[in-house]
Amino acid sequence: MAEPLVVIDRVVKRYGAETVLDRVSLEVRTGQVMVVIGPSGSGKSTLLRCLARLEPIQKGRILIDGVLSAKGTEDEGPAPDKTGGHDIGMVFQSFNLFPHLTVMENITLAPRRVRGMAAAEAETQAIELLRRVGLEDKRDVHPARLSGGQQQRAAIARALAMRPRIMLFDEVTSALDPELVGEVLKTMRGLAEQGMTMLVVTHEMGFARDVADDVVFMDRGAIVERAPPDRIFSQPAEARTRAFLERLLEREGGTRRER
Amino acid sequence: MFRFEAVIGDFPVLLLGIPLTLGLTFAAFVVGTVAALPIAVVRIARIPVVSQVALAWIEFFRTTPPLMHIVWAYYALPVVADIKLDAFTVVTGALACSTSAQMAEIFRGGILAVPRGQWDASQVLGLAHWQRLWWVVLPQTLRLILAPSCNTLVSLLKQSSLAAVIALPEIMNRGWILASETFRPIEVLTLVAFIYFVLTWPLVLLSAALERQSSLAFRSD
Repeated sequence: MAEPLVVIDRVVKRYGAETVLDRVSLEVRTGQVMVVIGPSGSGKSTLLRCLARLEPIQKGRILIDGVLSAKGTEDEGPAPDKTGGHDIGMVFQSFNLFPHLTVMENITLAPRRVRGMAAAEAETQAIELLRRVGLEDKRDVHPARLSGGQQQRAAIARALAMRPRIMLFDEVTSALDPELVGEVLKTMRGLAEQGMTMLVVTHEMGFARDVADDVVFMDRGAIVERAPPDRIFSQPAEARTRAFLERLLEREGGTRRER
Repeated sequence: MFRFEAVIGDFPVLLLGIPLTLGLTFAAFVVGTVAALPIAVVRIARIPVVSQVALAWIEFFRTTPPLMHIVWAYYALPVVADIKLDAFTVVTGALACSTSAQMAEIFRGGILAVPRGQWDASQVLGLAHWQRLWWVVLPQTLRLILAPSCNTLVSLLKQSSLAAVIALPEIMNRGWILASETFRPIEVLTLVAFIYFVLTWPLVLLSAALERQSSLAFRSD
């Protein structure tokens, strides 16, 4: 447990003149579940996208298990190693399943084409994953025939098929009807219990409270506060965190949607 | 007045032009479409110089008439560059070039219409750029462009009649000759039009059906 699995080191991300991430540093240890909260536009989704290497960063570096994964385009130094890029799985708000493929084909595509896995092996693995997310009867169905919650669980299975060491969840329940949120959170909860390292951007405070090891509050491109959930929710150290949480609780009317 | 009975006996002569018309259309469509895909991909990729060449190609063939390309390739190329091509190759080549420009734009629209999230998801899964294009984006693109491609085929079939100007005996050329032999151009050209109608109408129906179908299924969001 010496070296953190994820090291985000003074990362700067800009879109044109606008700074979206302003020298963000964060460490995540193996098996940790980190929930990132904050107002929209605070840079939390961008942070995940940078981790997934979907966005280049201008300054700083990102290490995965001690190996350089991304580095600032404005910084000197050796380029990151692009060969070992399958450590990270990501689940999106809009599911992004491949609509022309069945659930089974969605899950087996990357293992087969990227890892060169044989079809039979990839399917055996996919069946196991579908059982884990409770979709074993949907293997030959196209995504359009699934509910939002089922699509998102299929997307989780698809990400897991590449056996990532870190899973990123980017507001994965925000596009779901309220009654479907629970089934997705349950799947994520199960994943956390099995020891998966997770970074979760969410507005589900119930999930943060119960599952997170640490909660990170971001605002205007910077990390304002990081603390275990019981502390950040009961006695946040920063005024901005308190103001955000109060607004959030007001809006939700104190109800807890999950479970 | 019109006297169709005077030319109806020569109708089979016109029909004999059908294989050549269809051959020209098919060859130009296949060559043009196969060429269009890399042109579209390069055009989107924004590679310095190469993308500009692709754009120039597209714009040139979209803005100049294929009749000009045919005449130029058939009559000027032998003089200017000492390249002599037979009439079939000239027409196929000229129509393939303008088809490649048309289809490249159709491909481009279809590729760009696939949501950004499809690229993101396949990238995080570790698929290389060409794999994302081939396994994820293009299958969805094809579904989107079936109907417009079918329209391109329809107009190509009609444009193949330009081959008449360099004496390829397809339907239109046979019509011209027949018209001058019988002195009945209106009747003959009406028959010619009828043949084109019979050939293109099923494609028009197919295009409409494809359009209905693609507006229905296969969207996840």
